[in-house]
Formats: sequence, structure tokens, C-alpha cells
Amino acid sequence: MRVHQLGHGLIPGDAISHHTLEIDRRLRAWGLESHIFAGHVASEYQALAQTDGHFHSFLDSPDDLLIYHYSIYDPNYRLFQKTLMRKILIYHNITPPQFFQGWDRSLAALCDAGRRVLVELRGCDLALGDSDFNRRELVAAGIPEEKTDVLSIFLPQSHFTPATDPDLMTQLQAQGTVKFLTVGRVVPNKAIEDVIRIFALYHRAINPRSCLYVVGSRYLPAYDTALDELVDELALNDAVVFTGLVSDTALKTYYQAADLYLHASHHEGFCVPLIESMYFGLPILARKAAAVPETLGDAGVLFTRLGYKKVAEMAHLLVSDESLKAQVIARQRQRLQDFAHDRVEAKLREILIRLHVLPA
Amino acid sequence: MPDDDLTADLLKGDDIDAEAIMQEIRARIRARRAEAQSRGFDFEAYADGLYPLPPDAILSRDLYEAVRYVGLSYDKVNIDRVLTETRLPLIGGLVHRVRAALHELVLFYVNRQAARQIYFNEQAARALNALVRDLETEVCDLRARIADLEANQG
Repeated sequence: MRVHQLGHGLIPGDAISHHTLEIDRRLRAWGLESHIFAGHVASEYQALAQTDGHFHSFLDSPDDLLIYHYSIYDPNYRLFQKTLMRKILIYHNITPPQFFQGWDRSLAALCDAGRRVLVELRGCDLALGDSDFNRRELVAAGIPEEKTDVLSIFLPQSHFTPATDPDLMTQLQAQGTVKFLTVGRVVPNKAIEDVIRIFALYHRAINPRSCLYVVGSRYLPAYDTALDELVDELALNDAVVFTGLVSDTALKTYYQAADLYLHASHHEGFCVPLIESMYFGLPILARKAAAVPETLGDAGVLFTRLGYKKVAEMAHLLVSDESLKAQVIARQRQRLQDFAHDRVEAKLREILIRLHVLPA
Repeated sequence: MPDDDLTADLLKGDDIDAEAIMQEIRARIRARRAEAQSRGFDFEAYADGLYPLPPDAILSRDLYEAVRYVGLSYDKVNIDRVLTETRLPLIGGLVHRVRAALHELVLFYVNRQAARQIYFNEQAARALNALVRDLETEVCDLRARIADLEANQG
């Protein structure tokens, strides 16, 4: 039995690429023949995968199974439509275009195209979301409820091993400040401006010995400029640091040095940084939006509307009230168990048995 | 946002007394506001997500916010080419190239208009800022004269 996986790209450090490789590893372990195809294959992975053009030779193989990872518009969705194989769609979510309108029209158009194409991917045997939030979007796109399910992603194990950049750690600790952290691409749906404003109130009214670290790549010039202007206007130039993209070790160092993970995103399909914060024992204060409450489960602290005063005071309690902090962290550690690889593996196996790819 | 706008599920878990925590937060906010006022810190501006007022501000907060927004946005007219892929078989590539060329032509004229609009916006922003400065001077002057008159009457 052959199983193929097709996606947009296979790139080091990318969560979906990692998920694809983990699935591949299990398929092989279960005695299946496994192939990976992607629009772009990084040089590191060329021994493991082929570019999507090579998938053409398998199109007319009705006994095979195709797993299509969909996270961004890619013309290779037509291969998914054309093939005679049985098909599983795994939807990793696409940011709604309105978040990019006014900032980057090309990106907005790409997201719009991606979401429009989702409707055309209905002809699958099973559609999986990596959260129930994503699964509901599949149902909204017209896929019958009974043909949908949830398969959480295999989290990169390398993210969940301790590692520290000693120089960076020394530098961070030397400041003796309370450190707020937010992680992810610096894009409008993450509402970094709200994180900055919450921090501004905390810094000005509660604790001036504090810093905010925004860790993630910056690539929308208009949005970056607006955030820089905001920081400037609020006179926070010495207290807010945009690190840009950092190495895995540096990222772990920020998690270990920080006192609070603050997340104000309006749209997340899953949100890996929340899981990373759980692993590193960092109390989480996050906006209750999209898949965030689902990923947190009973853990972390959520805010629904943005009353900066309350959120800033809550942040203060989470960093200063040791008892509350310990309770929150304990719940987070408990929640972390739900994302263990063996649970995801068991669910993948159950799905493949249901589709008669594996024997019961 | 009023202080009593609590979110019931802000904190979860039987071991956490959410109501007690929220009461504490409300009390802290009241204390913080009072303390901020005593040292001249614009607490409400930060709390409401507004920008701090200029130290010598004498007009309404809304006016300063609006002028600030005009100053930030007068030249933000983003125009670029956005073309969706055509799905016509065989001639799709040709159609795409023709559409792209037409878009470039349209953009040429739209950009000329945009440049004029930005020039106008800039002049309007300058005028607005000048008006606000004049108004501030006028208000200060009038307040001083009222104070003088009241002092003389007394």
C-alpha cells in the first residue's frame, strides 16, 4: 500500500514540514510505502522528498492514498483534485485576508485565494483539522461533518528539549527586569499593537523595571513601521525589543528567561508558542480568540475583551503572586500531556484503520 | 471599558478563586489611577489605548487623536498589482500576460492620481496642524484675558 503526502513546502524549522516528516516516519514503521512531494523542497530534505511535479506519475493509482497538507494557496491543489486516489485533506488554516488588507494587498490576495480554493477541496474521503477550530472551518467550507475529524500536529520534539544560549541568558538576566514575551510572525492578526499597549500600561503604571520581547520574523514593512511608531509614541524604545527571527536555542533562552507569555492574537489555527510556553513553565495570558482557548484547554489565563487595565493587572498578578503562578503553571503542564506524540500517533493510526489503509 | 465588565471565564479551575482575583484587580486599578493622578501620569490614555496627550494640551483628546492619525496616514495610499490566476486551459498564460499589461496601464494612471491625492492630503494635514496651533494660542490668549478681566472685576 502506497501513501503519498503533498504540500506547499518542506522546509527546516517549519511546523507543518515537521508534521509531514513525522507522519512519514510512522507510515514506514507500519509497513506502508511512503512518499513526500512538495512545491518547494529545501536542500536538506531532498533525499526524503521530491518536488510536486514528480507526483504526476502516480495520479492514476486508485489503490493509493494521498494526504494533502493545505496551509496556503498552492497551484498543486489541482493534483489533489485530479488524482483517482483516496484522499485525506489536512487543513492547517489560512489567515483570513482581512487581517492583511491595508497592510499588504498581495498577501491579502494570496490568503483570499487560499480560502476560496478550500471550497474546491471538498471531494475528499476525510478532511482533518489540526484543531477543532480548523475542523469547523472545513465544515463551513461545505465538507460534511461526518467526513471531518481532528488530528493534532506532531510537535517538533527538538522544541521540547532544554537548550540555552549562555551569552543571551546572561544578557537577559543581567537586566533584572520583569520580561514579557510574545512569539510568532509579526503580522496584523497577532495584534502586536495590543501586546505593546498592555505592556505600556504595565510598564508605566505598575513596574517600570520591565521589558517586552517580540520574538519572530518581521516582513510586512507597513505594519513594522506602524509598530515602531507606536513604540516611539509611547516612549518605550528602551523597553520593547523586536528580536526578529532567532535560532531555536535563542528562542528557548527567551522562554526560559521570560516571566510571562502574553498573546493577543485574533486568529490562530492552533498556536505552537502556547505549547512551548507550557513546556518552559511560563504562565500564559492570552486573548480568547480562534483556536487559542481550545489549545489551552483548562490551562493559562484568557481575556475576552481588551480592557488594558485589567489585563495589565492580571499580568502583574501572574508574575508577582507566586501561589497563583504555580497553580497556572501546574495546569499548563497537565495540558501539555494531551499533545504527546503517542496520542497523536494513536489517532493517526485509528484514522488509517477507518480508511482501511491499515488492518484493524 | 467599565471596571465591572468582568469576563467570567478569565480564570478557570476549582482551585482558583476568580472572583476574589477580579476584586483585587479592581481595587488595584482604583489605587493605580489615584496614584497616577498624583504624579501627573496620563493613566486613562494608556488604559484606553490612546496616545498620551502632549504636555501642553488644552484642546479635546479626540482632536489630538484625529490630528495624529492624519499625520500618520496622509501618505499611505497603497497601490500595487493584484492579479488572480486564470484557469483557462491552453490560453491561460496569454490571457494572464494581457491582463497584467492592462493592469500596469491602469496602475500608471491611478498612481498619478494617487500622487495628487497624497499632495492634497499633505497640504490638508499641514493646514490642520497650523489651525490647531493657532487655536491653542487663541484659547490660551482668551483664557488669560478672562483671568485678567475676572481679576480686575474682583
